[in-house]
Amino acid sequence: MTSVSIEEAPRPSAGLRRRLTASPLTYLSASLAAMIAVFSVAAPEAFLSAYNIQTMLTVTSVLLVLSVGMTFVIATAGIDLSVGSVLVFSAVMSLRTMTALGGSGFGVVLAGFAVAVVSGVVWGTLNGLLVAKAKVPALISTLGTMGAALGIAQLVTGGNDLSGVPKALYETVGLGKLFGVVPWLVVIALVVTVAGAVVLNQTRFGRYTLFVGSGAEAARRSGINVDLHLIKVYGLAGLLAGVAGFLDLALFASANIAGHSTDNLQAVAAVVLGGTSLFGGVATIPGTVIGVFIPAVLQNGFVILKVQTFWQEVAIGVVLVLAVYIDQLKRKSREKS
Amino acid sequence: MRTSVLSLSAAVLALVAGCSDTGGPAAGGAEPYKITYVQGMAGNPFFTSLTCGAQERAKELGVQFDAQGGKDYSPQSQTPILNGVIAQKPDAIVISPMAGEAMVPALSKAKAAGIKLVFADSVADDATLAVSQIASDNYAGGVLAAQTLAKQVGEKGKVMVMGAKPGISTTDARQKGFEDEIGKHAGITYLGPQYSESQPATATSKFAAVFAANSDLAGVFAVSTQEVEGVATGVQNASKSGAVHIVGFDTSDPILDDVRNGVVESLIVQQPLQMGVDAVTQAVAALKGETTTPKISTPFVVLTKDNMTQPDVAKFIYKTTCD
Repeated sequence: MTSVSIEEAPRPSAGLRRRLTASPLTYLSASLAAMIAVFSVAAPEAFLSAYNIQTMLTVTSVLLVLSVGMTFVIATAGIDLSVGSVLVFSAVMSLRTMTALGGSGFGVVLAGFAVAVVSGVVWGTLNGLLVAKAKVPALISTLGTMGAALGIAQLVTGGNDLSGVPKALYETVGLGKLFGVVPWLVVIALVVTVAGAVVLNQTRFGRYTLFVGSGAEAARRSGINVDLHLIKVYGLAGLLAGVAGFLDLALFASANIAGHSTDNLQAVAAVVLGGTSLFGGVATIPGTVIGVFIPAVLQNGFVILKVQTFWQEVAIGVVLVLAVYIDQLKRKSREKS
Repeated sequence: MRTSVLSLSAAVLALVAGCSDTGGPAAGGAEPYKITYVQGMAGNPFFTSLTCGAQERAKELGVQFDAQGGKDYSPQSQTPILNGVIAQKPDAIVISPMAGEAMVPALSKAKAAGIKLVFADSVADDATLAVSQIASDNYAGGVLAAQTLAKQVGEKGKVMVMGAKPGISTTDARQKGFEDEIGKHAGITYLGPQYSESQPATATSKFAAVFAANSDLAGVFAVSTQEVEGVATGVQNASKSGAVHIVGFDTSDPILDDVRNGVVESLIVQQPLQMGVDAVTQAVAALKGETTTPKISTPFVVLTKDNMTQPDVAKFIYKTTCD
């Protein structure tokens, strides 16, 4: 690796990745398709109703946006536990700004969006600095910012959920639908996801991300500014957490303080389930999409089929571990052959 | 891994609590009593209101008062806070303890140190530890929720419960009360509970699934604020506000908006302010060696769009900050 030039260096890694992920992705898509098929046959009217599909997609959109950011972080062999807290922080700052400006116009909503994004980027960049420059392991630095971001949000609000989301925001973005069919939240999440996939697969930023993840030292020796790149990656995850916070405001018409404590682990689970390696260097955005939807579809279908509620948690846990286990087996057999 | 977050937030909270010291000196120059309230969790309007009531009463009685709470509603959060408070040796501790046995060791330590204990809102397993227990009967609150919902759906149709997390004593009791009462209404079909894991997004998606399978769903009882916020979003996505009746429990700013907009029909509201007043009264009585009331049960109020502006109901809306 050290002997190749910077521009050429990441390419073999990209090819390798494609070979590694092609098969798990097929297998995961097939699993998801099978689940959808089973639920569709078992309860066609409920499971396939427009309302059910729209609501499931809408609620999952927020998690999907978080998970796209998480995919980049995990691709560098890092982790970001702070995303849920950064989401809450961004939502609170955004809503406070919109309330202070008053009114319900387009300008106010835009300002709220800008504040949410900036809040996210600030926390993300701080994470990146801690990881890359201060050399605090990602698990610890993001654990720290997870507590700090939520703590500050609680200080600002006194711990109370906030109301007062501008009507323009939740009636258009939150409840509105493109062509009256596709909820706007889903459209936005889709745009973010496609952009994420393009960036990861088609740009130098994406190649560097995977290269840093497969070996920071090798990347450094190839002339990549690894520290700067890590700061950018964590900054991106923060940015997307900010966007997710704004979407959450639109969806729930309120800023909920306590309701995002498991978002981080849900996002990590989705990314890993999707086939991105916790050890870095291998990542797939389409895999993450499937990783987000497998638990969501399972939960939805189980509720519809009246599977006893405690079994839902058990089943989702088993599917997560099983999917990653089978994935590991496949990888191993491929490496041997 | 949890510990570092907890101690971090505990440090932040200690900072906040430190600023809210309010007790004045007692009349007559004697050293004033020191009473600390350990909340069920910090920054929750219910516990904030309880704090406000306690603070107000403490001021009247010339008691030095402060309040602290953990970052979430769990023994893991409450134990270190309680231990810290015990170390400061107040004369009495008012506490909303986590139910069950989890808090009993720390509470026993407090009692052994000669600190008088008053339980407010919830009760730990060893009730003999406290000189007085003040609580709403959450089971009765669940019964009231069932009666309210039954009336709203016209005594017929399908209803469900959106629960929090199995194992939380207060919400479990509400659910049990609801289930026992709703079974007595012959025209109503009970679809059973779903659990939100205290995440509004989960409440929304699980409500959506139930509603998809039961398009004739008539009503939902949502056991606490997280669930109400989640279910209200699900109902609005279905453009069914008003058609699916929601009865909630407790108040928060977003939920009051939902009541005003007709998305949520009724809220079962407790009286935490009164609990705080009673708790400090009982604590001071115990400190003076007077007789205390071992058990006080505070009643509920049903809040609706129509009565929420009336002063006799509005005064029960939970406070997000003390006046």
